[in-house]
Amino acid sequence: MKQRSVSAKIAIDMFAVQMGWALWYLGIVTMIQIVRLIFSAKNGSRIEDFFLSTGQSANIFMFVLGILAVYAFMPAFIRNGVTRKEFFKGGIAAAAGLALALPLIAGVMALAERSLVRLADLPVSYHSAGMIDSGGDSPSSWVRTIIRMIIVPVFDIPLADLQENGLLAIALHALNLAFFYLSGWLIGAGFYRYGGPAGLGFIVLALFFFHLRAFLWKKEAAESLKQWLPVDTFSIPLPGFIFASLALIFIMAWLIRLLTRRVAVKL
Amino acid sequence: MRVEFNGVSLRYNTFEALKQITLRLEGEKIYGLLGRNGAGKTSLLTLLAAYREPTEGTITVNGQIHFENEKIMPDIAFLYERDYKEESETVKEVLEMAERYRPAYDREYAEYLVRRFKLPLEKPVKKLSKGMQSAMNVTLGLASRTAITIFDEVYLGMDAPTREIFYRELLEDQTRHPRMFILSTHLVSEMDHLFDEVIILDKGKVVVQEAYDRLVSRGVTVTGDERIVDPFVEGKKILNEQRLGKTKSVTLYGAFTEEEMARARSEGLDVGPVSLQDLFIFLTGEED
Repeated sequence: MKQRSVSAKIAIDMFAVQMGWALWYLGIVTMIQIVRLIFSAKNGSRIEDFFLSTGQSANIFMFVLGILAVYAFMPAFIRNGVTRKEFFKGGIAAAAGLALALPLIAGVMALAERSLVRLADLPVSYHSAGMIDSGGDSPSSWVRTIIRMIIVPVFDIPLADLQENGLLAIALHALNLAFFYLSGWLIGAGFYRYGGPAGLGFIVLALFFFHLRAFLWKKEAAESLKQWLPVDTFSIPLPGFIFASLALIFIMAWLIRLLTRRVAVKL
Repeated sequence: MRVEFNGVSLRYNTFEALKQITLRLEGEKIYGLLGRNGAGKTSLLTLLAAYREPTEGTITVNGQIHFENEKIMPDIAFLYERDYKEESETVKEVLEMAERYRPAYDREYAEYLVRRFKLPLEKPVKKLSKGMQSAMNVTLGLASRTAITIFDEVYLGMDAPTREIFYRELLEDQTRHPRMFILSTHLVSEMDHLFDEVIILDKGKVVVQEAYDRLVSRGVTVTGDERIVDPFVEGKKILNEQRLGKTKSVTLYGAFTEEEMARARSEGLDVGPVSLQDLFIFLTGEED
Protein backbone atom coordinates (compact mmCIF):
# COMPACT_ATOMS: atom_id res chain seq x y z
CA MET A 1 0.00 0.00 0.00
CA LYS A 2 1.23 3.45 -0.85
CA GLN A 3 2.27 5.44 2.17
CA ARG A 4 0.12 8.50 2.65
CA SER A 5 2.13 11.71 2.41
CA VAL A 6 2.96 13.44 5.65
CA SER A 7 1.09 16.62 4.73
CA ALA A 8 -2.02 14.56 3.90
CA LYS A 9 -1.80 12.96 7.35
CA ILE A 10 -1.46 16.39 8.94
CA ALA A 11 -4.45 17.66 6.95
CA ILE A 12 -6.57 14.75 8.16
CA ASP A 13 -5.42 15.08 11.78
CA MET A 14 -5.87 18.83 11.94
CA PHE A 15 -9.24 18.62 10.24
CA ALA A 16 -10.40 15.96 12.70
CA VAL A 17 -9.30 17.88 15.80
CA GLN A 18 -10.70 21.21 14.63
CA MET A 19 -13.91 19.59 13.42
CA GLY A 20 -14.25 18.18 16.92
CA TRP A 21 -14.11 21.72 18.28
CA ALA A 22 -16.51 22.84 15.53
CA LEU A 23 -19.08 20.31 16.73
CA TRP A 24 -19.10 22.07 20.10
CA TYR A 25 -19.55 25.36 18.34
CA LEU A 26 -22.37 23.99 16.16
CA GLY A 27 -24.03 22.51 19.23
CA ILE A 28 -24.03 25.89 20.94
CA VAL A 29 -25.37 27.64 17.82
CA THR A 30 -28.12 25.01 17.63
CA MET A 31 -29.18 25.71 21.19
CA ILE A 32 -29.17 29.47 20.63
CA GLN A 33 -31.11 28.99 17.41
CA ILE A 34 -33.80 26.98 19.24
CA VAL A 35 -34.16 29.74 21.81
CA ARG A 36 -34.38 32.36 19.04
CA LEU A 37 -37.00 30.31 17.21
CA ILE A 38 -39.13 30.12 20.34
CA PHE A 39 -38.87 33.87 20.89
CA SER A 40 -39.61 34.64 17.27
CA ALA A 41 -42.65 32.37 17.29
CA LYS A 42 -43.88 34.14 20.42
CA ASN A 43 -43.34 37.80 19.62
CA GLY A 44 -42.91 37.76 15.85
CA SER A 45 -39.38 39.17 15.73
CA ARG A 46 -37.39 38.42 12.61
CA ILE A 47 -34.42 36.08 12.91
CA GLU A 48 -31.71 34.69 10.68
CA ASP A 49 -31.92 31.03 9.80
CA PHE A 50 -29.19 28.63 10.89
CA PHE A 51 -27.18 29.25 7.76
CA LEU A 52 -27.11 33.04 8.01
CA SER A 53 -26.62 32.83 11.74
CA THR A 54 -23.43 30.80 11.37
CA GLY A 55 -22.60 33.06 8.45
CA GLN A 56 -21.72 35.61 11.09
CA SER A 57 -20.59 33.75 14.18
CA ALA A 58 -18.60 31.02 12.42
CA ASN A 59 -16.22 33.67 11.15
CA ILE A 60 -15.18 34.49 14.68
CA PHE A 61 -14.91 30.81 15.49
CA MET A 62 -12.64 30.27 12.48
CA PHE A 63 -10.62 33.36 13.37
CA VAL A 64 -9.89 31.90 16.81
CA LEU A 65 -8.98 28.52 15.31
CA GLY A 66 -6.62 30.33 12.96
CA ILE A 67 -4.88 32.08 15.85
CA LEU A 68 -4.44 28.71 17.54
CA ALA A 69 -3.14 27.01 14.40
CA VAL A 70 0.46 27.97 15.08
CA TYR A 71 0.54 27.59 18.84
CA ALA A 72 -1.58 24.48 19.19
CA PHE A 73 -0.25 22.50 16.27
CA MET A 74 2.97 23.64 14.65
CA PRO A 75 5.49 22.97 17.45
CA ALA A 76 3.87 19.61 18.22
CA PHE A 77 4.26 18.49 14.62
CA ILE A 78 7.82 19.77 14.34
CA ARG A 79 8.72 17.94 17.55
CA ASN A 80 7.58 14.81 15.74
CA GLY A 81 9.95 15.37 12.84
CA VAL A 82 7.56 17.15 10.48
CA THR A 83 8.91 20.05 8.41
CA ARG A 84 7.42 23.53 8.53
CA LYS A 85 6.49 23.18 4.89
CA GLU A 86 4.58 19.94 5.41
CA PHE A 87 2.77 21.52 8.35
CA PHE A 88 1.85 24.53 6.25
CA LYS A 89 0.49 22.40 3.42
CA GLY A 90 -1.48 20.19 5.78
CA GLY A 91 -2.80 23.16 7.74
CA ILE A 92 -4.00 24.92 4.59
CA ALA A 93 -5.76 21.78 3.38
CA ALA A 94 -7.42 21.30 6.78
CA ALA A 95 -8.56 24.93 6.79
CA ALA A 96 -10.03 24.55 3.30
CA GLY A 97 -11.83 21.41 4.47
CA LEU A 98 -13.28 23.21 7.48
CA ALA A 99 -14.29 26.22 5.40
CA LEU A 100 -16.27 23.92 3.14
CA ALA A 101 -17.63 21.55 5.76
CA LEU A 102 -19.10 24.22 8.04
CA PRO A 103 -21.30 25.93 5.40
CA LEU A 104 -22.46 22.54 4.14
CA ILE A 105 -23.43 21.44 7.64
CA ALA A 106 -25.01 24.83 8.32
CA GLY A 107 -26.91 24.54 5.04
CA VAL A 108 -28.31 21.15 5.97
CA MET A 109 -29.22 22.45 9.43
CA ALA A 110 -30.98 25.48 7.90
CA LEU A 111 -32.98 23.28 5.56
CA ALA A 112 -33.99 21.08 8.47
CA GLU A 113 -34.86 24.14 10.53
CA ARG A 114 -37.06 25.67 7.84
CA SER A 115 -38.82 22.36 7.18
CA LEU A 116 -39.54 22.00 10.87
CA VAL A 117 -40.89 25.53 11.09
CA ARG A 118 -43.09 24.82 8.07
CA LEU A 119 -44.25 21.44 9.37
CA ALA A 120 -45.07 22.80 12.79
CA ASP A 121 -46.58 25.87 11.16
CA LEU A 122 -44.67 28.23 13.44
CA PRO A 123 -45.15 31.96 12.90
CA VAL A 124 -41.44 32.63 12.38
CA SER A 125 -40.21 35.22 9.92
CA TYR A 126 -36.69 35.23 8.59
CA HIS A 127 -34.21 37.89 7.62
CA SER A 128 -32.75 37.59 4.17
CA ALA A 129 -29.05 38.04 3.60
CA GLY A 130 -29.44 41.56 2.21
CA MET A 131 -31.19 42.74 5.36
CA ILE A 132 -28.30 42.12 7.70
CA ASP A 133 -26.75 45.44 8.39
CA SER A 134 -24.17 46.85 10.63
CA GLY A 135 -26.17 49.70 12.08
CA GLY A 136 -26.71 52.17 9.28
CA ASP A 137 -25.89 55.83 9.42
CA SER A 138 -25.48 56.77 12.99
CA PRO A 139 -24.07 60.11 14.04
CA SER A 140 -20.33 59.65 14.12
CA SER A 141 -18.48 60.17 17.30
CA TRP A 142 -14.90 58.96 17.39
CA VAL A 143 -15.80 56.14 19.80
CA ARG A 144 -18.46 54.96 17.39
CA THR A 145 -16.06 55.18 14.51
CA ILE A 146 -13.49 53.06 16.27
CA ILE A 147 -16.06 50.49 17.31
CA ARG A 148 -17.31 50.34 13.76
CA MET A 149 -13.79 50.02 12.48
CA ILE A 150 -13.38 46.84 14.39
CA ILE A 151 -16.92 45.49 14.33
CA VAL A 152 -18.11 46.28 10.82
CA PRO A 153 -15.80 44.10 8.85
CA VAL A 154 -16.50 41.21 11.17
CA PHE A 155 -20.29 41.40 11.03
CA ASP A 156 -20.93 43.17 7.78
CA ILE A 157 -19.86 40.27 5.73
CA PRO A 158 -20.72 38.99 2.30
CA LEU A 159 -23.53 36.46 2.47
CA ALA A 160 -26.21 35.17 0.16
CA ASP A 161 -29.43 33.32 0.85
CA LEU A 162 -29.34 29.59 0.60
CA GLN A 163 -32.86 29.56 -0.84
CA GLU A 164 -32.10 31.95 -3.65
CA ASN A 165 -28.73 30.75 -4.82
CA GLY A 166 -27.44 27.77 -2.89
CA LEU A 167 -24.11 27.50 -4.64
CA LEU A 168 -23.29 31.19 -4.26
CA ALA A 169 -24.41 31.11 -0.63
CA ILE A 170 -22.12 28.18 0.19
CA ALA A 171 -19.25 29.67 -1.80
CA LEU A 172 -19.44 33.08 -0.10
CA HIS A 173 -19.77 31.49 3.32
CA ALA A 174 -16.77 29.25 2.66
CA LEU A 175 -14.70 32.16 1.37
CA ASN A 176 -15.52 34.16 4.50
CA LEU A 177 -14.49 31.28 6.73
CA ALA A 178 -11.23 30.68 4.88
CA PHE A 179 -10.50 34.39 5.00
CA PHE A 180 -11.07 34.62 8.75
CA TYR A 181 -9.13 31.46 9.51
CA LEU A 182 -6.14 32.72 7.57
CA SER A 183 -6.26 36.17 9.14
CA GLY A 184 -6.17 34.49 12.56
CA TRP A 185 -3.32 32.27 11.46
CA LEU A 186 -1.46 35.34 10.19
CA ILE A 187 -1.76 37.01 13.60
CA GLY A 188 -0.71 33.81 15.39
CA ALA A 189 2.28 33.40 13.09
CA GLY A 190 3.30 37.02 13.61
CA PHE A 191 3.14 36.66 17.38
CA TYR A 192 4.93 33.33 17.37
CA ARG A 193 7.76 34.69 15.30
CA TYR A 194 8.19 38.22 16.67
CA GLY A 195 6.55 38.12 20.11
CA GLY A 196 4.59 40.87 21.87
CA PRO A 197 4.89 44.40 20.50
CA ALA A 198 5.75 43.48 16.91
CA GLY A 199 2.99 40.85 17.00
CA LEU A 200 0.47 43.64 17.57
CA GLY A 201 1.44 44.92 14.15
CA PHE A 202 -0.05 41.78 12.68
CA ILE A 203 -3.41 42.56 14.30
CA VAL A 204 -3.30 45.90 12.50
CA LEU A 205 -2.39 44.10 9.29
CA ALA A 206 -5.31 41.68 9.72
CA LEU A 207 -7.67 44.60 10.40
CA PHE A 208 -6.44 46.17 7.20
CA PHE A 209 -7.33 42.98 5.30
CA PHE A 210 -10.76 42.87 6.99
CA HIS A 211 -11.54 46.39 5.90
CA LEU A 212 -10.16 46.02 2.44
CA ARG A 213 -12.43 43.06 1.85
CA ALA A 214 -15.45 44.76 3.42
CA PHE A 215 -14.94 47.78 1.18
CA LEU A 216 -14.75 45.56 -1.86
CA TRP A 217 -17.99 43.88 -0.84
CA LYS A 218 -20.11 46.93 -0.34
CA LYS A 219 -19.43 50.56 -0.15
CA GLU A 220 -21.65 51.15 2.85
CA ALA A 221 -19.10 49.29 4.89
CA ALA A 222 -16.72 52.13 4.31
CA GLU A 223 -19.12 55.00 4.85
CA SER A 224 -18.21 55.67 8.44
CA LEU A 225 -14.52 55.73 7.59
CA LYS A 226 -14.99 57.91 4.56
CA GLN A 227 -13.43 60.93 6.19
CA TRP A 228 -10.14 59.04 6.60
CA LEU A 229 -9.97 57.47 3.20
CA PRO A 230 -7.84 58.95 0.48
CA VAL A 231 -10.17 57.62 -2.23
CA ASP A 232 -13.89 57.60 -2.65
CA THR A 233 -15.62 54.39 -1.60
CA PHE A 234 -16.48 51.96 -4.34
CA SER A 235 -17.68 48.41 -4.77
CA ILE A 236 -17.00 45.85 -7.43
CA PRO A 237 -19.28 43.30 -9.10
CA LEU A 238 -19.67 39.85 -7.53
CA PRO A 239 -17.31 37.82 -9.76
CA GLY A 240 -14.67 40.46 -9.19
CA PHE A 241 -15.29 40.29 -5.46
CA ILE A 242 -14.91 36.51 -5.39
CA PHE A 243 -11.71 36.77 -7.35
CA ALA A 244 -10.44 39.52 -5.04
CA SER A 245 -11.32 37.41 -1.98
CA LEU A 246 -9.35 34.49 -3.35
CA ALA A 247 -6.47 36.82 -4.08
CA LEU A 248 -6.52 38.16 -0.50
CA ILE A 249 -6.61 34.62 0.88
CA PHE A 250 -3.67 33.73 -1.31
CA ILE A 251 -1.70 36.78 -0.17
CA MET A 252 -2.33 35.97 3.49
CA ALA A 253 -1.30 32.35 2.96
CA TRP A 254 1.88 33.54 1.31
CA LEU A 255 2.64 35.89 4.22
CA ILE A 256 2.04 33.07 6.71
CA ARG A 257 4.45 30.87 4.80
CA LEU A 258 7.06 33.63 4.76
CA LEU A 259 6.69 34.08 8.51
CA THR A 260 6.95 30.39 9.35
CA ARG A 261 9.25 29.08 6.62
CA ARG A 262 12.35 29.18 8.80
CA VAL A 263 10.83 30.06 12.16
CA ALA A 264 12.64 28.88 15.29
CA VAL A 265 10.62 26.48 17.42
CA LYS A 266 10.37 27.62 21.02
CA LEU A 267 11.47 25.13 23.63
CA MET B 1 24.54 8.66 10.13
CA ARG B 2 27.11 11.38 9.80
CA VAL B 3 26.53 14.79 11.31
CA GLU B 4 28.81 17.70 10.47
CA PHE B 5 28.89 21.17 11.95
CA ASN B 6 30.97 23.51 9.83
CA GLY B 7 31.93 26.83 11.39
CA VAL B 8 28.56 27.06 13.11
CA SER B 9 27.75 30.15 15.17
CA LEU B 10 24.50 31.05 16.84
CA ARG B 11 23.65 34.51 18.06
CA TYR B 12 20.60 35.66 19.99
CA ASN B 13 20.54 39.40 19.35
CA THR B 14 23.99 40.35 20.59
CA PHE B 15 24.70 37.27 22.70
CA GLU B 16 26.83 34.70 20.97
CA ALA B 17 25.72 31.29 22.25
CA LEU B 18 27.90 29.23 19.92
CA LYS B 19 31.14 30.32 18.37
CA GLN B 20 32.50 28.76 15.20
CA ILE B 21 31.70 25.17 16.11
CA THR B 22 33.19 22.52 13.89
CA LEU B 23 32.21 19.01 14.84
CA ARG B 24 31.79 15.64 13.26
CA LEU B 25 29.60 12.94 14.78
CA GLU B 26 29.63 9.64 13.07
CA GLY B 27 28.34 6.15 13.47
CA GLU B 28 26.09 4.39 15.91
CA LYS B 29 27.57 5.75 19.08
CA ILE B 30 26.41 7.24 22.32
CA TYR B 31 27.78 10.74 22.63
CA GLY B 32 28.00 12.52 25.94
CA LEU B 33 27.65 16.28 25.66
CA LEU B 34 29.01 18.05 28.72
CA GLY B 35 29.25 21.67 29.60
CA ARG B 36 28.56 24.02 32.46
CA ASN B 37 25.36 26.02 32.70
CA GLY B 38 25.17 28.42 29.76
CA ALA B 39 27.96 26.69 27.84
CA GLY B 40 25.67 26.33 24.82
CA LYS B 41 24.61 22.67 25.07
CA THR B 42 20.92 23.24 24.46
CA SER B 43 21.68 25.76 21.71
CA LEU B 44 23.81 23.19 19.95
CA LEU B 45 21.12 20.53 20.32
CA THR B 46 18.31 22.77 19.03
CA LEU B 47 20.41 23.34 15.92
CA LEU B 48 21.01 19.64 15.48
CA ALA B 49 17.28 19.01 15.92
CA ALA B 50 16.54 21.65 13.24
CA TYR B 51 14.44 23.63 15.69
CA ARG B 52 16.28 26.67 14.42
CA GLU B 53 18.92 27.62 11.87
CA PRO B 54 22.45 28.71 12.73
CA THR B 55 23.37 32.37 12.30
CA GLU B 56 26.51 31.29 10.47
CA GLY B 57 27.93 28.08 9.11
CA THR B 58 26.29 24.88 7.92
CA ILE B 59 25.02 21.69 9.49
CA THR B 60 24.69 18.59 7.37
CA VAL B 61 23.44 15.08 8.01
CA ASN B 62 24.85 12.49 5.60
CA GLY B 63 26.12 15.37 3.50
CA GLN B 64 22.76 17.14 3.14
CA ILE B 65 21.53 20.27 4.86
CA HIS B 66 19.05 18.85 7.34
CA PHE B 67 16.96 21.96 8.11
CA GLU B 68 13.47 21.48 6.58
CA ASN B 69 14.70 18.31 4.90
CA GLU B 70 11.71 15.95 4.67
CA LYS B 71 13.95 12.92 4.35
CA ILE B 72 16.04 13.66 7.43
CA MET B 73 13.79 15.40 9.95
CA PRO B 74 11.59 12.36 10.72
CA ASP B 75 14.78 10.59 11.75
CA ILE B 76 15.88 13.10 14.37
CA ALA B 77 14.21 13.20 17.76
CA PHE B 78 14.95 15.83 20.38
CA LEU B 79 13.67 15.26 23.90
CA TYR B 80 14.13 17.87 26.58
CA GLU B 81 12.68 19.04 29.88
CA ARG B 82 9.56 20.68 28.59
CA ASP B 83 7.04 22.76 30.44
CA TYR B 84 4.00 20.50 30.24
CA LYS B 85 1.68 22.52 32.43
CA GLU B 86 -0.62 23.29 29.53
CA GLU B 87 -0.48 19.88 27.89
CA SER B 88 -3.96 18.45 28.34
CA GLU B 89 -3.34 15.50 26.03
CA THR B 90 -2.99 12.12 27.64
CA VAL B 91 0.20 10.07 27.57
CA LYS B 92 -1.54 7.72 25.16
CA GLU B 93 -2.36 10.52 22.72
CA VAL B 94 1.19 11.85 22.83
CA LEU B 95 2.55 8.38 22.06
CA GLU B 96 0.01 7.86 19.28
CA MET B 97 1.12 11.04 17.58
CA ALA B 98 4.73 9.84 17.62
CA GLU B 99 3.60 6.52 16.19
CA ARG B 100 1.83 8.31 13.36
CA TYR B 101 4.74 10.52 12.36
CA ARG B 102 7.85 8.54 13.28
CA PRO B 103 8.53 5.97 10.58
CA ALA B 104 10.51 3.57 12.79
CA TYR B 105 8.29 3.84 15.89
CA ASP B 106 7.92 0.51 17.69
CA ARG B 107 4.59 0.24 19.47
CA GLU B 108 5.36 -2.98 21.31
CA TYR B 109 8.55 -1.55 22.66
CA ALA B 110 6.70 1.62 23.70
CA GLU B 111 4.15 -0.49 25.56
CA TYR B 112 6.96 -2.37 27.25
CA LEU B 113 8.56 0.90 28.38
CA VAL B 114 5.21 2.23 29.58
CA ARG B 115 4.94 -0.82 31.84
CA ARG B 116 8.57 -0.57 32.90
CA PHE B 117 8.17 3.08 33.96
CA LYS B 118 4.61 2.50 35.21
CA LEU B 119 3.29 5.35 33.06
CA PRO B 120 -0.44 6.05 33.41
CA LEU B 121 -1.64 6.07 29.79
CA GLU B 122 -4.96 7.79 30.32
CA LYS B 123 -3.65 10.64 32.47
CA PRO B 124 -3.19 14.11 30.96
CA VAL B 125 0.49 14.91 30.68
CA LYS B 126 0.14 18.09 32.74
CA LYS B 127 -1.02 16.03 35.70
CA LEU B 128 2.02 13.76 35.70
CA SER B 129 4.80 14.24 38.22
CA LYS B 130 8.11 15.60 36.93
CA GLY B 131 9.59 12.13 37.09
CA MET B 132 6.74 10.63 35.09
CA GLN B 133 7.02 13.38 32.48
CA SER B 134 10.70 12.52 32.17
CA ALA B 135 9.80 8.85 31.79
CA MET B 136 7.35 9.74 29.04
CA ASN B 137 10.03 11.71 27.22
CA VAL B 138 12.43 8.80 27.51
CA THR B 139 9.75 6.42 26.22
CA LEU B 140 9.06 8.71 23.26
CA GLY B 141 12.75 9.00 22.48
CA LEU B 142 13.55 5.31 22.71
CA ALA B 143 10.41 3.93 21.04
CA SER B 144 10.64 6.34 18.11
CA ARG B 145 13.88 4.55 17.15
CA THR B 146 15.10 7.57 15.23
CA ALA B 147 18.56 7.35 13.67
CA ILE B 148 19.58 10.35 15.77
CA THR B 149 18.09 10.63 19.23
CA ILE B 150 18.91 13.58 21.45
CA PHE B 151 18.22 13.55 25.17
CA ASP B 152 18.82 16.94 26.72
CA GLU B 153 18.78 16.46 30.48
CA VAL B 154 15.47 14.58 30.25
CA TYR B 155 16.42 12.42 33.22
CA LEU B 156 16.58 15.32 35.68
CA GLY B 157 13.15 14.69 37.13
CA MET B 158 13.69 10.96 37.60
CA ASP B 159 14.67 9.40 40.89
CA ALA B 160 17.82 7.30 41.02
CA PRO B 161 16.20 3.86 40.51
CA THR B 162 14.22 5.17 37.50
CA ARG B 163 17.39 6.63 36.03
CA GLU B 164 19.01 3.21 36.39
CA ILE B 165 16.15 1.69 34.39
CA PHE B 166 16.68 4.33 31.73
CA TYR B 167 20.42 3.68 31.48
CA ARG B 168 19.85 -0.05 31.18
CA GLU B 169 17.12 0.28 28.55
CA LEU B 170 19.20 2.73 26.57
CA LEU B 171 22.16 0.37 26.42
CA GLU B 172 20.01 -2.66 25.61
CA ASP B 173 18.10 -0.95 22.85
CA GLN B 174 21.27 0.54 21.44
CA THR B 175 22.64 -3.00 21.17
CA ARG B 176 19.47 -4.31 19.49
CA HIS B 177 19.02 -1.33 17.20
CA PRO B 178 22.33 0.50 16.94
CA ARG B 179 21.86 4.22 16.35
CA MET B 180 23.27 7.57 17.38
CA PHE B 181 22.40 9.00 20.76
CA ILE B 182 23.44 12.35 22.11
CA LEU B 183 23.02 12.75 25.85
CA SER B 184 23.62 16.06 27.48
CA THR B 185 23.99 15.89 31.22
CA HIS B 186 25.16 17.33 34.48
CA LEU B 187 25.20 13.90 36.06
CA VAL B 188 28.68 13.19 34.75
CA SER B 189 29.86 10.60 37.21
CA GLU B 190 26.61 8.71 37.02
CA MET B 191 26.42 8.53 33.25
CA ASP B 192 30.01 8.35 32.09
CA HIS B 193 29.84 4.58 31.62
CA LEU B 194 27.28 5.12 28.83
CA PHE B 195 29.46 7.27 26.61
CA ASP B 196 31.41 6.06 23.61
CA GLU B 197 32.56 9.56 22.89
CA VAL B 198 32.56 12.79 24.84
CA ILE B 199 32.11 16.37 23.66
CA ILE B 200 32.80 19.15 26.11
CA LEU B 201 31.51 22.63 25.42
CA ASP B 202 32.76 25.68 27.23
CA LYS B 203 31.55 29.23 26.63
CA GLY B 204 30.11 28.36 23.24
CA LYS B 205 33.16 26.48 21.99
CA VAL B 206 34.06 22.83 21.70
CA VAL B 207 37.01 22.23 23.99
CA VAL B 208 37.13 18.45 23.73
CA GLN B 209 35.84 15.81 21.37
CA GLU B 210 37.35 12.47 22.08
CA ALA B 211 36.56 8.80 22.60
CA TYR B 212 35.73 8.20 26.26
CA ASP B 213 38.60 5.74 26.82
CA ARG B 214 41.17 8.04 25.32
CA LEU B 215 39.85 11.01 27.20
CA VAL B 216 40.07 9.36 30.60
CA SER B 217 43.55 8.13 29.79
CA ARG B 218 44.58 11.77 29.54
CA GLY B 219 44.97 11.80 33.24
CA VAL B 220 46.03 9.45 36.02
CA THR B 221 45.34 9.03 39.69
CA VAL B 222 48.36 8.21 41.77
CA THR B 223 47.77 6.80 45.24
CA GLY B 224 50.27 5.90 47.91
CA ASP B 225 52.33 7.14 50.84
CA GLU B 226 52.34 10.91 50.93
CA ARG B 227 56.14 11.04 51.16
CA ILE B 228 56.51 9.09 47.93
CA VAL B 229 53.56 10.62 46.09
CA ASP B 230 54.55 14.25 46.65
CA PRO B 231 57.98 14.17 44.99
CA PHE B 232 56.59 11.92 42.29
CA VAL B 233 53.92 14.41 41.15
CA GLU B 234 56.03 17.50 41.56
CA GLY B 235 55.86 19.79 38.54
CA LYS B 236 52.82 18.06 37.11
CA LYS B 237 49.35 19.49 36.57
CA ILE B 238 47.27 18.50 39.58
CA LEU B 239 43.49 18.21 39.13
CA ASN B 240 42.55 16.95 42.54
CA GLU B 241 44.12 15.89 45.81
CA GLN B 242 42.74 13.75 48.59
CA ARG B 243 44.35 12.64 51.79
CA LEU B 244 43.48 9.96 54.29
CA GLY B 245 45.98 9.64 57.12
CA LYS B 246 49.32 9.26 55.45
CA THR B 247 47.83 8.03 52.19
CA LYS B 248 47.45 10.58 49.46
CA SER B 249 45.65 10.34 46.19
CA VAL B 250 46.51 12.85 43.49
CA THR B 251 44.78 13.19 40.15
CA LEU B 252 47.04 14.47 37.40
CA TYR B 253 46.37 15.82 33.96
CA GLY B 254 48.55 14.28 31.28
CA ALA B 255 49.28 10.62 30.68
CA PHE B 256 52.30 8.80 32.12
CA THR B 257 55.07 7.53 29.94
CA GLU B 258 55.92 3.83 30.12
CA GLU B 259 58.97 4.73 32.14
CA GLU B 260 57.02 6.81 34.66
CA MET B 261 54.48 4.04 34.95
CA ALA B 262 57.18 1.49 35.74
CA ARG B 263 58.86 3.81 38.22
CA ALA B 264 55.53 4.45 40.00
CA ARG B 265 54.95 0.74 40.38
CA SER B 266 58.44 0.06 41.60
CA GLU B 267 57.96 2.71 44.27
CA GLY B 268 54.80 1.01 45.42
CA LEU B 269 52.30 3.55 44.06
CA ASP B 270 48.88 2.68 42.71
CA VAL B 271 48.18 4.18 39.29
CA GLY B 272 44.58 4.39 38.16
CA PRO B 273 42.53 6.25 35.57
CA VAL B 274 41.07 9.68 36.10
CA SER B 275 37.33 10.18 36.34
CA LEU B 276 35.51 12.04 33.58
CA GLN B 277 34.01 14.25 36.27
CA ASP B 278 37.46 15.40 37.44
CA LEU B 279 38.57 16.05 33.88
CA PHE B 280 35.37 17.90 33.10
CA ILE B 281 35.75 20.16 36.11
CA PHE B 282 39.39 20.77 35.28
CA LEU B 283 38.71 21.57 31.62
CA THR B 284 35.80 23.90 32.20
CA GLY B 285 36.11 25.06 35.78
CA GLU B 286 38.04 27.71 37.70
CA GLU B 287 38.65 31.04 36.04
CA ASP B 288 35.18 32.55 36.23
